[in-house]
Amino acid sequence: MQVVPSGNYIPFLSSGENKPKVQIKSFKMDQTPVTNFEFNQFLKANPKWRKTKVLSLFADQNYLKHWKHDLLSEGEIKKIGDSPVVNVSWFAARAFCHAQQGRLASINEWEFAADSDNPKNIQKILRWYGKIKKNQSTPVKKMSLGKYGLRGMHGYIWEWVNDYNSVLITNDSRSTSSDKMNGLFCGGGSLGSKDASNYASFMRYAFRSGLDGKYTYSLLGFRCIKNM
Amino acid sequence: MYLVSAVLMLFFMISCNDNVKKSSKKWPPVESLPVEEAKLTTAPNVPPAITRKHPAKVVVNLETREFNAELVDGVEYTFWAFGDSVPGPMIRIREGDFVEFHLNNHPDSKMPHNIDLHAVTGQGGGAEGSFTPPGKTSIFNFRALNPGLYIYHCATAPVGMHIANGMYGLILVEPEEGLPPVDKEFYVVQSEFYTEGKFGEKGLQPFDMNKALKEIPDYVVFNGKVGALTDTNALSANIGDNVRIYFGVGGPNLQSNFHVIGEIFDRVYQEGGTKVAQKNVQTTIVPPGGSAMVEFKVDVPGTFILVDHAIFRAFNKGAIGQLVVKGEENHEIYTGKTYEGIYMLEGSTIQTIPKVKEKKDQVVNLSFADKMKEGKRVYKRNCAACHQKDGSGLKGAFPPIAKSDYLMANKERSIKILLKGLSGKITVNGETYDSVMPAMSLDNSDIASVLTYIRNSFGNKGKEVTIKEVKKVRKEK
Repeated sequence: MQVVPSGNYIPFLSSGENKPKVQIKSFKMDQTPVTNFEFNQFLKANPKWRKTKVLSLFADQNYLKHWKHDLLSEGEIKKIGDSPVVNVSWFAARAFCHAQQGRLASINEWEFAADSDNPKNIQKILRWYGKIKKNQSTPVKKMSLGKYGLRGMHGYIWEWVNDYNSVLITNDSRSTSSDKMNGLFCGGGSLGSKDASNYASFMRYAFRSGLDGKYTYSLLGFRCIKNM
Repeated sequence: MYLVSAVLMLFFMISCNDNVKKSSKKWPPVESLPVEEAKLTTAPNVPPAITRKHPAKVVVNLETREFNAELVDGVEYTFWAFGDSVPGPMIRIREGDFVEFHLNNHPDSKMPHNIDLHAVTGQGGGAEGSFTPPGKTSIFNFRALNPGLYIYHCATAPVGMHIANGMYGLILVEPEEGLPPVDKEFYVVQSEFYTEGKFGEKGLQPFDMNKALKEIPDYVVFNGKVGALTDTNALSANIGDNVRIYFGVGGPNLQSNFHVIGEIFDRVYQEGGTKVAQKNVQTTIVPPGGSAMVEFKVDVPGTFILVDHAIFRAFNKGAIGQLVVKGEENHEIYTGKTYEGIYMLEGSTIQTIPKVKEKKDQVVNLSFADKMKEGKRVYKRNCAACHQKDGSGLKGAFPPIAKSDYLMANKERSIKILLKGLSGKITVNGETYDSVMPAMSLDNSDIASVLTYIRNSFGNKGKEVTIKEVKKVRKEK
């Protein structure tokens, strides 16, 4: 795990005249997204999260659809063991992190660690978003290095955060939760966002706002963090 | 803040009034409606006119996809689209229809998508009810309260990028009484693309956010790519057809100045409304997120060019389409070219450059040397522009003076040409020329001098021309 030092962070979507700065406490973060191999180890110890066992409340029918069986075969481990695990639900990702005495990062923690405000990153990220070619099977150790020694924060997969739906429920005295949500659908979003031209962040926030806990998808994985 | 509130209140008051008007119309309850599936068409095709005389429940199935395709030969772009082409399919429903709208986001998409149909009365135009992550389906319903031609587009953040990548199309809500029948209907949408490389730069071109923010596109196109409506893809009609074009602008930024070269729109339903706002229109402005219906009868054959008349967009960025009209020529309306000749400033046939003042001939017999000197001056002023300084002429247009068999063959004819002009076919040094030379308003002395000069320059060698000889020819009829 890599140490992400404490710091101040202005959330991407914030409204009002006083843009609140958020104090981020130092934490440790997985250097890479969780791999298929690591998730397989977790399932060996926790059978209830295997795909034939998992409750439909906690994962939809596409859960681990890229795995042939409940556990990976030797051949599959060779082939995809080092690639990030995808097609996992928020519930499963959360359970994985808890089993490692960790947790999923909050949106603020994730965005802070990902250095996603850095203008240099933005066009790079946009290119990934705009590309059809999938590279989610890149071995995690080969993913590009970002700030704080973290690999693959941008340009490979989407990642679960703990409060992915907080954009919907964050409230403030002048706007209802549903107004905030509309901000992501139409022009209103540009009023509430820190930087209207940061389209890359817009897309991440828009993506997260459409999720629900049992949703799984071929480009959505996760990594864990631990408090210091 | 107060101002905003006031404006908002005003807005709601207006829309309330509008709502009162709309809701005063009683539509049959949804359960009582027959159910049918909407027939969607890919541009430039238009779904068939609606023949039923009552509302129905219409099921619309639309899929969102992300794919690579050509923007112009050799240039690829990653499109986001409704369906598998840009613009998305055209939807045709009827005023009062109740629409069950299914939005299906393909599992291979990277992005969540939704749809804002400008034909919808309801939050976000349906965007709020159709936000769909990859691999999921959303359903929402709406009543088509207002007839007209409407844009639909994706409204997921960042909206600009979803539109810039191709997520738009048209939905037509026919008025209860229907639209007047026409012979040919076409579906055309204009939009722009912003790429990192310049127009025509080969390879897969990524979206350029900075160009989009500055609103300087590299491509302005009809129906999603350069050449979507030209050559083998051209629209076609026959003489006598009444043509209607359902025209929309996806944007994201630029309005269209829609014009069909060689046609006049007989009727324009401006802004996609249901009333003919103007007749006999040359160019109609269509805003991004807007539309227009234009109608015109094609009377003569030919290739009629659809353009955005902000003309650099047409000739340098791709905003060109073709409507090929077949049938017999009608010379009562248009003849085509009936003549081509040299443009003469006044009149049509052989023209005389007017004399300022007719002088009495100076009967001074110049020496050969003086004629040569004077003749050179006259030549430079009157002849060199066409026949060139060195007498070489211009192939195909102006016959040569230099070593000219035609000139040297007949002295009298040369004098006559200068005095009376010449038109029609002649052969000079084996080349045929078919043009016009005007009669020159030169006095006899100048003509004698210039002819002496050219007959003894540029490799020619001949006798000098005298004033007497010129006088003689001038007297001839």
